[in-house]
Amino acid sequence: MDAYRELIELLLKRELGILGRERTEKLIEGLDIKFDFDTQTLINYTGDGKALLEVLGHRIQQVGGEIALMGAKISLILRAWKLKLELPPIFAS
Amino acid sequence: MEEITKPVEIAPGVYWIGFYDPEAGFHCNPYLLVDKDEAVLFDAGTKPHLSHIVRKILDVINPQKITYIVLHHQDPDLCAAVPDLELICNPQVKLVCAWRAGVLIAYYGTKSEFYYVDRNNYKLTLQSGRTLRFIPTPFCHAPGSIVTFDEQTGVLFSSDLFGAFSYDWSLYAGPYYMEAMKAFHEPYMASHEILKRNIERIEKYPVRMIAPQHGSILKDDKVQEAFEVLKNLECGDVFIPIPEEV
Repeated sequence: MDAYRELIELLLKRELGILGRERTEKLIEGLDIKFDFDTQTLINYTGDGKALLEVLGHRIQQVGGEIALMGAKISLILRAWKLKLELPPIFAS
Repeated sequence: MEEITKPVEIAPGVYWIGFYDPEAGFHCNPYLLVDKDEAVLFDAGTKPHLSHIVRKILDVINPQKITYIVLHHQDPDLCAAVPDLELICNPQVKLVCAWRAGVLIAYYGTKSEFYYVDRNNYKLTLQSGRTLRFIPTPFCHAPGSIVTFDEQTGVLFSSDLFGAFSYDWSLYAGPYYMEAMKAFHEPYMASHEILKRNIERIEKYPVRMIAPQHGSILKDDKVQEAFEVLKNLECGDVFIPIPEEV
């Protein structure tokens, strides 16, 4: 895991609320992300965190459209700013 | 899941009369309060779902008993079908709102007389003596926004406050609701300070259940949890991404 751990966890927690468990489980299918859906905790992931965020963002947009994306955007922008991390384009504008 | 094709009595005499679309991420929740021979509608002017709402009203009462339609602010998702509702309600029905909202609500082509809460001590007494209290919640999200507290049942009809974006909708809030609620408030409420001030005003009332216009109904320990979440939520205009060149 890299510096993006907190942001990926925040995003998945948020989408649990917006998209629900079943759709959120599908979001991470095929990605090397382990998330505990009961405790809403990110256990592990491998790869570039920023790139994973980008993939998740596009999947969220596909499944839930702009509402699902907008619902996570402000929290992500705020947390990324505090952590001094750059967000992928799908969340940055 | 609750049987939601029929009106659901969420508190004695208080009914959810909404419509669930499994493909939508944003749901509207109209409510009906029945008090002896009188009834009050809350935020029921959702035009695309009007037929469902009217059918559910008919399942509960004769619509001619509806003497007040409470409109917590002026948005189309709760007001657009008010002129249609006026046709089936009591001919003397009054539209209950803040003055600032009423100025705009009139543009939907409504015909009924307004009952401005800010000119009536923020309360409405029904024929039975039951009192509805109105709490101003300015800029959450509109300048003339209000919420309603029913003293008899402890239900807070909270309009946009405590609402949520959710594709995983259920009538009562589930385990992930707080995240869905944050998702709705962050881009929609004006600022953290304004939101906190309004929640602090609301939490002085003995709220037992929160019935929002969007999202799910909150009860039991979720009421206090929701107060805390919103009081601490960072939100509003400063976080909306706007390109520098604009």
